Amino acid sequence: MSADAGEWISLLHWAIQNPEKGALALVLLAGAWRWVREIRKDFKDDSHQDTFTEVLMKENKELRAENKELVHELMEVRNRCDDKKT
Amino acid sequence: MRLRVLMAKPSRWCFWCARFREIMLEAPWSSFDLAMSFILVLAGGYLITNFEWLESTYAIYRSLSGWLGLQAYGFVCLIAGMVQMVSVLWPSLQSFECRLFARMGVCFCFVVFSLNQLANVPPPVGAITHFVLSGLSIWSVLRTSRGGG
Repeated sequence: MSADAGEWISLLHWAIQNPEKGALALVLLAGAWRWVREIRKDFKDDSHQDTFTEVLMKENKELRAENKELVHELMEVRNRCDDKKT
Repeated sequence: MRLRVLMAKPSRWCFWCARFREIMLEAPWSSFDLAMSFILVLAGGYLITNFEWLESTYAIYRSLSGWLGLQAYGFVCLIAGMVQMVSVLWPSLQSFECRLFARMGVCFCFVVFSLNQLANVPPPVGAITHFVLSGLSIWSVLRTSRGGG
């Protein structure tokens, strides 16, 4: 515990003695972290959009199948009506 | 988690926490960015025009001139301030990368000044101001988002 504290204090001392290096390291770290987070967020959004497209395509397929069945049923009903008339 | 518990309780703390959270996360920081850019442009200009006098008179600036030289720091501050000013005053919202880069420049300058002043024993009164401003400028880098935060 005390060894860790000593390391942290020495790091802080180094940063204070070398303000330009400490500042550069801190700023680059903060900027890189922010950038990586935005890239990860974009990647997640893209994957979410893909899933949404897949859902839409699946729904479209189901509706087409239902529509096909309905058309088939309608044709059968019409045929029956035609048979009755004749 | 603790903030959520505080927010759930209908007390005065709840309001303060919510207000602080709103300011730090959701409020636009354009005025802060503009003020930082003005400070850096003026500080950079001051360092460039008076660098010999400042270097010889004030001990707090000696360690600042160790790596690049005080005049070079003046130019860095001036450029960082001007980039930030253009980024803030631009009529349309700049891209995320541009805004992040501008804020990183400002943050670098303020952290350098802050650490430089803290290195003195005892630190000057201005060290407190620079310390707070550098902390806020680090936060402004961390809160930059594509949405315009």
